[in-house]
Amino acid sequence: MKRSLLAILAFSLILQGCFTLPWSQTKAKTYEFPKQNMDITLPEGWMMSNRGDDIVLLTRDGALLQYIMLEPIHVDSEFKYTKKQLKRGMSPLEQAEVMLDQMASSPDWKGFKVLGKKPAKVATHNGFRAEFTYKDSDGLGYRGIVYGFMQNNWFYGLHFVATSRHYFDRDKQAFEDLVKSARLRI
Amino acid sequence: MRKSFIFIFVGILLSGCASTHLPPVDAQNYRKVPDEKRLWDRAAEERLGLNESGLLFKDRALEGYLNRIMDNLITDEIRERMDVQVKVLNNPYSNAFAYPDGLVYVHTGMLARIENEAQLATLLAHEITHATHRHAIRERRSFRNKAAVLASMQATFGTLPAIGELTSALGEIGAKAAVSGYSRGMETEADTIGLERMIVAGYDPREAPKLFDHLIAEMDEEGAREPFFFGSHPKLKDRKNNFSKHVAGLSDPRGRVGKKAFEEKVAPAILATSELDLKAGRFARAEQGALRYAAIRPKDASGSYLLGEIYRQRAQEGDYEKAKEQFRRAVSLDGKMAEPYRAIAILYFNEGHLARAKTNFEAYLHRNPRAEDRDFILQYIRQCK
Repeated sequence: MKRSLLAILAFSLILQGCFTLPWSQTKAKTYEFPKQNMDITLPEGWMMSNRGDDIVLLTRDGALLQYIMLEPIHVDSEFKYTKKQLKRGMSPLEQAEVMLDQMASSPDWKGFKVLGKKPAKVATHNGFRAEFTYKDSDGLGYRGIVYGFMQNNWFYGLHFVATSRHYFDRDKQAFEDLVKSARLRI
Repeated sequence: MRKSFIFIFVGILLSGCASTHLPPVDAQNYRKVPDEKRLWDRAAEERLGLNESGLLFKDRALEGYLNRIMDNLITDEIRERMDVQVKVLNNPYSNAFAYPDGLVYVHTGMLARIENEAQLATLLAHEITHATHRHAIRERRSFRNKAAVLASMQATFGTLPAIGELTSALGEIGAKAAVSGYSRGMETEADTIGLERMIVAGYDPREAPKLFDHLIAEMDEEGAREPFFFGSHPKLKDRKNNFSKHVAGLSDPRGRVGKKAFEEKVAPAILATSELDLKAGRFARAEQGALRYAAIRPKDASGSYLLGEIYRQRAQEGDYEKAKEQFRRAVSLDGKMAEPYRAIAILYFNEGHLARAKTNFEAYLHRNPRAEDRDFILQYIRQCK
């Protein structure tokens, strides 16, 4: 009796939003992210972080194996690993340079290498797509793709990072489909 | 009853007391001890990860040069009993550290700040002394002795403040050497004996205290209280003063300085560090490094190109003109180098000089048809029409 009451109480609290589980499973549908000013169609069966941060974080098998991240950055923000800053009116190539240098300067990403960068339409805006590799502190190889564009006073970055072996090739199409679906709300 | 307590107390003391008084590697009575062998094996395992990390700066000429300098600083006994080697890590911050088995790592950032071979010898002599004087195993034993005694006392006599964290706080061997370093006494020993080594090798000891000026300068730039390996160490200025006092007491402090040979060999590390500083937006440091590289190798277009990029990306008043001047210089030094054409094209494009921009973008692609930003450049060219 006591256990049943406790279970009912816990379930009620969850339903009322008093108690949030850290991750929720995604459906293949369009999600609204008003805080990030974007609507995006997410892939089926991934886990989305519910922490309410400024970033949206998804993973399928654990963030150390792969993750997708949506990251809006105000143009006046300071970066963690580089003193370079984004500037209003920067071309997509110059935006890519700043974002890639921020990643290259991270002490956790060893041997950072840019494989290529090119212009790309993201959420109907002129932006860039760049691909890169690096190793973590344990020597595990990662590969990543970043799309980015600037609109008004914000830079929007969409990132996909996965282990070079297996997970990058398996999940990159899900990321590319997600990027194609992205739209700004305002 | 009293005798029982005495026996218990002696037993407790003996339970954890491995000696921390170990003769140095080149002593006649040197003998490698079992826990030290295990430490060396673990160090070798750790380095596998470091070697695979992509952090190694691979320049054979530079590595050969550093190892020749190190070879002049060690005795035959050390050479026979340890595999002493120097390797370089591509990292813009000033640091150097030694594994207990004789492997020494130096950051490119450290090499970029040092002025000459005598200062380099000071650094290498200090680091190898940590290994030859067995600081890693001595300090580990010292920690364990205190922890073992306290643990025994806790078990026998009641509760003491938690000490589990002490033994687990020792951390990985390399992180210990590279980040927190050793005790004050051991750092002082490394300074003193290291200085003797560099004097015996024929270097000018007056250069030794200047090593600390570079470290102090970096500390001031970064706004750090003390850099990396100074967790519990004598402060930088204290160490510099100790060196200066020692040198002042020498009767004939002359010797080799070796600026030219040093700069020529270390130039690639200076360039690499400047590039990393540019990525991190440390424009002042990047500019200093690039200017120094351009002075050492005035006919190498890389220095002018890098200076141009620093000015282009810094984009302060007057920087665009400085950048163009450097890009033109790079092109005059090496007409085949593609990057200066792209860089100057971007400047012209931003200023609205589309015809000039187009010419230079096309020149870039002509010299580098497989450029990794080719699609970007083609888009720029279309926009120039």
